[in-house]
Amino acid sequence: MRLRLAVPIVSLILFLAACTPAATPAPGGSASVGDLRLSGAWARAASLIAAEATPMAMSTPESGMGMEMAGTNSAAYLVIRNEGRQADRLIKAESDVARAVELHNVKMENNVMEMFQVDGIDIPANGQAELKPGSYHVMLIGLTRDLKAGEKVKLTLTFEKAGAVTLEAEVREP
Amino acid sequence: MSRVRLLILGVVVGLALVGAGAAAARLLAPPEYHGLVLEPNAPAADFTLTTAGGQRVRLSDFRGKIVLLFFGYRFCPDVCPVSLTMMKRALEALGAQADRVQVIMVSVDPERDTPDLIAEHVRRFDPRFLGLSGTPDEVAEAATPFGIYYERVAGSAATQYLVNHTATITALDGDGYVRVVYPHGTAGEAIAADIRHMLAGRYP
Repeated sequence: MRLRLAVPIVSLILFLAACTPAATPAPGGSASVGDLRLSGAWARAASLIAAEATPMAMSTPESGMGMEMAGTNSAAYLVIRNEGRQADRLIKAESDVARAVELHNVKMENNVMEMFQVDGIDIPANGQAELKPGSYHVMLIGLTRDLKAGEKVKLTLTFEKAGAVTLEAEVREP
Repeated sequence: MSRVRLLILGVVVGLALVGAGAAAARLLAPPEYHGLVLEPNAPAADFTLTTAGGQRVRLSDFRGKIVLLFFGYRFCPDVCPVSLTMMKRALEALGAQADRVQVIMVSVDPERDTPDLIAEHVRRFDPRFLGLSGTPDEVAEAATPFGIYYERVAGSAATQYLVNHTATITALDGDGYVRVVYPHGTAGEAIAADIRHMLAGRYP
């Protein structure tokens, strides 16, 4: 009797395990993909400004800025731990809350802040990359909606070797 | 037995004296500030810029208050929000004394940050904050005397351009003298502690 019950349970577990994709989203801004463990994902709260809908009085003809470029931005952060023996690299980030998403880093020299786009963020073998304020971050350019504290934002990150994974980042102040 | 009591009493009185002495020394000693302390011999250069609704604002309008002055831009998603948050925390830590402080953010990206936009942007952090912008020339005139460097650099199709800029917070006293310059990331509570000293006229 006990054995008869065990067989379907075991096969059910195996079936579920087979169905689970390589990338497994988990609660609390964490996920796994291949040898990579992603955790502590969060995005900075930001809200669209009503004045954005009005023409820019100060814009000069030579600046050529369209209104779509005057949007509100935010940033997302997380820790990516690599438990494998092979180095990996974060090469792309996507999110439906922004018109464009880029990987950026910040350099501070003589108190001068320089933010610049990067092609990728290395995740060393048996090491980690920490995306945090004042350092590497996922830049969310031109928010399509307000990011309110407590909400969740979906981020899809693509790694050179491990592939793509989607996780939820919690929106936080600041 | 009574000798033990006497000993305990002696220890307690001794500790109390040491504590009182330490407290007195703290009150008498010059306070330690949490940033680069300056001793200018004249008030900082005045500037006139624009806030929401086209209202013109001069730095000298805030004489009598401590001014926390920050130069940044709205497009900056990482560094500038941290500075604004630290200043918000400073005001929160100061409680009622925050009435004697004015936080001002000047945009170093006047092409994108209209006075209305920068004013609303900083109000989202704290309604007491004042956001200023102006013509590129006006912003340059305001920034230079404070040693603020900023420079437009090419960005991507999405960002168009980014602005490298000095990310310090400058604290001016009620007479308009620059007293302290804080490096990026100085905790709001540390700034608040310095402001309490400044309001009490205690300088290093």
